[in-house]
Amino acid sequence: MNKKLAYPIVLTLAVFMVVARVQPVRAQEEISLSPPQVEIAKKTYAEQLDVYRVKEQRFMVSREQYKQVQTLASLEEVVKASKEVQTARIDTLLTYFKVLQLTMNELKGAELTKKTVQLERIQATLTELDVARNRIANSNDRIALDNASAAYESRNEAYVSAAYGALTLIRIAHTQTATDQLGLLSAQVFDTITAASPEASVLAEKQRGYDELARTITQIKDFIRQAFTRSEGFDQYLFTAASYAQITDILNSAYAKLKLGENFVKELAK
Amino acid sequence: MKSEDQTQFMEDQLLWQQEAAAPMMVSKPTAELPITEKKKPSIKTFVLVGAAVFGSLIILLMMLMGVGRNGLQLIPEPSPSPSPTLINQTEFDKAFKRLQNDIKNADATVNDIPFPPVNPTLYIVTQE
Repeated sequence: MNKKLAYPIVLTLAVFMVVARVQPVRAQEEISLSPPQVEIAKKTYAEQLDVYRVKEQRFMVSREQYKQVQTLASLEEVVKASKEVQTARIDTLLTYFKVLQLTMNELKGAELTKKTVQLERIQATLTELDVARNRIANSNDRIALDNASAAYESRNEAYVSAAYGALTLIRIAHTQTATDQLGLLSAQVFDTITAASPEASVLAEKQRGYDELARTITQIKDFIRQAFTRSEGFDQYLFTAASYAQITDILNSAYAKLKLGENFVKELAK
Repeated sequence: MKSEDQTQFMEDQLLWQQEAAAPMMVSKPTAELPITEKKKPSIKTFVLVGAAVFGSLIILLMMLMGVGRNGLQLIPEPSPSPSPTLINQTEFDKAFKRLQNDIKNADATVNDIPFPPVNPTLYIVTQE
């Protein structure tokens, strides 16, 4: 074959293969980390939170002592305690956001675009916290450490917002996954019943049960939609624990219906 | 002494009277070179190359349009099958256990990873 012809044909095939590989976007492809990693990260987080609490207590005592005695020795002590507690605070948050990142990576039942937005916010927060940690490491006096603390305080709201934004998506996605599973299982059960050709009266009873189950699933989907709409209504950069609580209130109703559906499908299968 | 390429006066005159013609003398190295005609790309080649490039663009465009239309949304795993298969008791037990686990995860009252209860105001000297 003429070389001049071969290049465009090879190029065409290469483009086709690359695009064909990129095209199927599946939740499964997002999963790259196994569940134990989340559990390990959670354990590390719990340990770091304990360390933080101890350091915070020590700092409070040192600060109180410095306020009372006002000596250079006590100042030296409180400066050291401040550096330690601020480092522990950042380390705790770093591990916390890594837990959220791992959880989000494994999350099923969420829209990819929303998931990507939350993952980007988490990554940005992790980067910011790394910078803050370096700043504390380079701070060695009262003024520098108090400035580092002021910088943290000014960003605390943003960190809370990033966390609760992600937690909200996690909650909604879990409800969605359970609803999908309920729908799938109830349809499978009903199809199996129908295929067994039971008596007309039995089939009618099962049909009524299946219809009720379908209505329950529709109600759950409505609650999920409401939760989504409510979460979209909040300013994504001012998401707080209170905003999260409002979403979970709606999802609690969905959860109650899921429990009902669980019983229905069990009854239907009898 | 007369060299090969020297021209005498009469010869010059005759040369001027003659019509212009291609040079008769060809230097030896050039004469020995094989005469190769520079081939121009044929129309067929242009058509095939053009078709290949156009085809690539069309495929790329179609793929991009497909992604745009689907909005890059996550497909839940497992995606509910439009025609559910029949299941036996063992399969039901397994699927029901999974459902129970999924429902347990959907309990919104349980949040095992709330934002860490850290103190945002850790100042040595209280800020005014």
